[in-house]
Amino acid sequence: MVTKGEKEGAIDADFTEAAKAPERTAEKQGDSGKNAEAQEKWFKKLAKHNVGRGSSDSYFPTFQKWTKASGGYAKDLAVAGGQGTVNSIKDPGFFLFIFSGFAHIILKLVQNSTWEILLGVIFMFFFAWLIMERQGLILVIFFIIWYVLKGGVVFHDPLAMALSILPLLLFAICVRGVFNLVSQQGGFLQGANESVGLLAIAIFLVDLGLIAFLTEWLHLPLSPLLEASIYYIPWWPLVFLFRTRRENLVINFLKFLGIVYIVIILTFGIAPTAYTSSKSALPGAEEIVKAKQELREKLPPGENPAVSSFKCLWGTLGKVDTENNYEACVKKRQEDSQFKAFCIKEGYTEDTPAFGQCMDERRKLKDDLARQATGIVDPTIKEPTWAEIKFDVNNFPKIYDDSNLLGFPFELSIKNPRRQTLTVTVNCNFKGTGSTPSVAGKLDEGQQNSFLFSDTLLSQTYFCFPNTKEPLKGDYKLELTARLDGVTTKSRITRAFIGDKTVAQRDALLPEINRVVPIVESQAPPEFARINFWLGHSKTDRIIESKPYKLTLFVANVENRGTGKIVAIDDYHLEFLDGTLLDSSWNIIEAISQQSCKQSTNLLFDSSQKIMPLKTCKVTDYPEDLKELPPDDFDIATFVASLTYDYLLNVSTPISIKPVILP
Amino acid sequence: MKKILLLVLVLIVVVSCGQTPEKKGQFNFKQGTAEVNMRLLDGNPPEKIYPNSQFGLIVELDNQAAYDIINGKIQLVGLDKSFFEVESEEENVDLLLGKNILTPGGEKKFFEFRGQAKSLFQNAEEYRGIYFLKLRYNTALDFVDTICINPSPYGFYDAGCTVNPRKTYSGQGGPFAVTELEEIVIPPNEIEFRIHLRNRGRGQADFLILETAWLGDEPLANCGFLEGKGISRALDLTAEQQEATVICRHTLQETKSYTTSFVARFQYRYEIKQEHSLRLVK
Repeated sequence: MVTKGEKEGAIDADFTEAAKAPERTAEKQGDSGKNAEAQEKWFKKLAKHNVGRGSSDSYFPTFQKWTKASGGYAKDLAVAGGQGTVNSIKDPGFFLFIFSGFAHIILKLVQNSTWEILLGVIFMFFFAWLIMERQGLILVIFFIIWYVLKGGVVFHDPLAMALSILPLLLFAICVRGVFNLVSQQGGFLQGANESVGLLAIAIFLVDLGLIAFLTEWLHLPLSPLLEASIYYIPWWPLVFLFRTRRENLVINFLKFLGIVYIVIILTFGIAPTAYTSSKSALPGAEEIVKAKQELREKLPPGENPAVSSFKCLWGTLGKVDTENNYEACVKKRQEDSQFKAFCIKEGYTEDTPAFGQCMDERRKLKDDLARQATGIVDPTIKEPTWAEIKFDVNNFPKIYDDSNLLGFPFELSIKNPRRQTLTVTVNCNFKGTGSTPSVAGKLDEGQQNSFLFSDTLLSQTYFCFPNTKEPLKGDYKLELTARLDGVTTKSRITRAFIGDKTVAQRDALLPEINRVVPIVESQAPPEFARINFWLGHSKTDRIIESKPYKLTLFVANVENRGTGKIVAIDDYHLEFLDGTLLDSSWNIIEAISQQSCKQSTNLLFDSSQKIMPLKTCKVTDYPEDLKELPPDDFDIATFVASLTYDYLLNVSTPISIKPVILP
Repeated sequence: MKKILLLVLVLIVVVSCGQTPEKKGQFNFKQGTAEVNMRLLDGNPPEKIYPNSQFGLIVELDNQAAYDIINGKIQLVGLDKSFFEVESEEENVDLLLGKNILTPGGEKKFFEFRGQAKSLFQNAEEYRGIYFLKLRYNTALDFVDTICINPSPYGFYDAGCTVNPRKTYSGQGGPFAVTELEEIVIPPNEIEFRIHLRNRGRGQADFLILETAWLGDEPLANCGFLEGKGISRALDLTAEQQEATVICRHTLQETKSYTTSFVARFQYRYEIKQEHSLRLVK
């Protein structure tokens, strides 16, 4: 009689033997790439052995004791799971799901539009070929060829785009129909099955970022739902997952997770400031991807809402008060994650006092009215004013003395498309670290360190020398600065004046006004700094009414958008688009001091802050023709806030200068 | 093959015999749904407008309805004067004839708006300004039908006409239409008519007025809108409410069934609106 121990020993031996099987099989086959096949054989062998031995035996000794009570259920589950995994990999849908999932994660990190488009094309092709079983493949191929030939242009007008794809569809249907007749695989009319390819094309465009782009086409307000679908839904992985043909434990479980994920994302959404991009140039695929990336950049990345949901679910069980319940927890986690992402992006290191200050500032910003004025990048200005200092540490000398006369080269680039007259001052410094004393720097004597510049482009290399007869020796921080005085950046905002109307009249005009004034925030080119401002009854209201109980405000702040510092604000003022100042019919005054807010000069900017609020003012009067309008009419006006400031670019790098060793 | 040829021949004969030649001058334009078509002429405005240049906007109005439009006005609404300035933002359309015997194709007119483009904002590449083209006008609706009235519906068999208590209609040649007429006899000698009207066009009606209503040669004095306050022959419509019901009550003199004409004439104000855009490029 075989004892229980002997039996278990036999089982263990079998298990050990079986565990070695894949390697042996691979060795025999002499190809590590056939491991998958070996794995499959191994699992099949496991299943066979398990069935052969009956339910009281277990091929997984570790499960033996607890599976006994459940009648071997867990053992069957593990076997089924293992078998399921092998079977899933063979399914093209599942394989593509895995591949596209990885690609999605990598693209989120890398953010390369070329790769995004290329992978999208590949997935679209394989979707039609493997998933739709070559239905629609001809249309997809034609679309890819057309797309490449056209330079990836997607028309501005949806109808024009549909009409462009229509000939491709008809041609593809004809080709398929002829192919069916020639190969006797069906009738000519069955070529209409090619229209299935439209699904692949639609997924391709949506994954690229068509939803983001449709916000411009249809001027859709960016609801949390749309934001979630732009940022958090991985289209191709989900499509491949749900198109997996096989049904087994692994795939069904993944599908279940996929559904749960979508439900959480779409139900919860993201903490919004909803707005649209007013990009209106003819787009190509790159532009669509860019629109998605721009929107993603504008959307605070923060924590994945699904993660917040799960973490808060466990942490708030049983708590019902509004401050500590599930909703409050999720909202706080989302807000804190957005503040955290912002501060990290601004260059603060986590768990430092400066980081904590940044977080506090963002929390304060949430509540501070003046700071809350927000602005967006004006997408119609493709060439902003910009400057940067670049250097290559490999070009820096490692030893130095005054007989060496080797300078530290760096390049200053300035883009000045509007030909502003700027005073540029370039400087450098050797700041000693540790016990090394600091040394002042100077530029090459032949180079002017301060000059007036009004050209469109400057690209100049400078050489920094220590302004001392003593040789440099030790560790320094080489600081390179360029100060640009007199930079002007203008922000614009559009509002609809409706006069004094009834609620019904106002509501009747609302759809038109929302179309005519799609963007409620101020817009400015992506330059060093800008004024964010709003004019009206509230930050999100684009309508200004003439009613005695409705206060019209002017709320603004100055935001440092670059990596340098705003040294001084020379001037800010309000004007119209053509540059004319607001005349006396516009009375905008500060609430307390009653001073005019239309203009201010020589303000100091606290460089420790990224955002500096300006005086909050009220509009006590404006022209009569904007107050008295017919019941069905409204007037549009665009206001410009002009900011003139001095900006300091400052880059630094550690250098280590070794002493000169004389022979 | 022979069977197919025979079938085709039979079809041709049937179709030909089914057609009655159209008698000139007797086509009834006041049926179905038709309205004023408004469009911008191609190239006016141009697809791209350059800064500090002039442009024109030509609106074509083509009245395909069976009624004239009067007291009309075309408006350009929503243009930002910072970018585009138009000399006059509205034009009057005093009269535009509808389809009738004299103008079977309706009347077409063109209206031009002259504009001046201003500069782009700083060194922007382009600006797209959305605006609305609105046409508002007064027009009419004539509803005529022959109906059967039986003052004694519960009486003995009447060899007269057969009452159709509810009749539906496809329209009277305009955007607003009478869609249904109900007849309800209230013994001993009263009859109630319920006229249902609906907006079938692409625009929106502002208000509706029942001008006249006749039953044969007798005026229907006791008529009013169900949605109105009291017995009112005028009704203001909203965007959400583009339907109306008129109730008319009348005392019948006859005791036996008879056919007669039912005539109602309405006036209403209609608005059509289209969204367009102007593109200012560098």
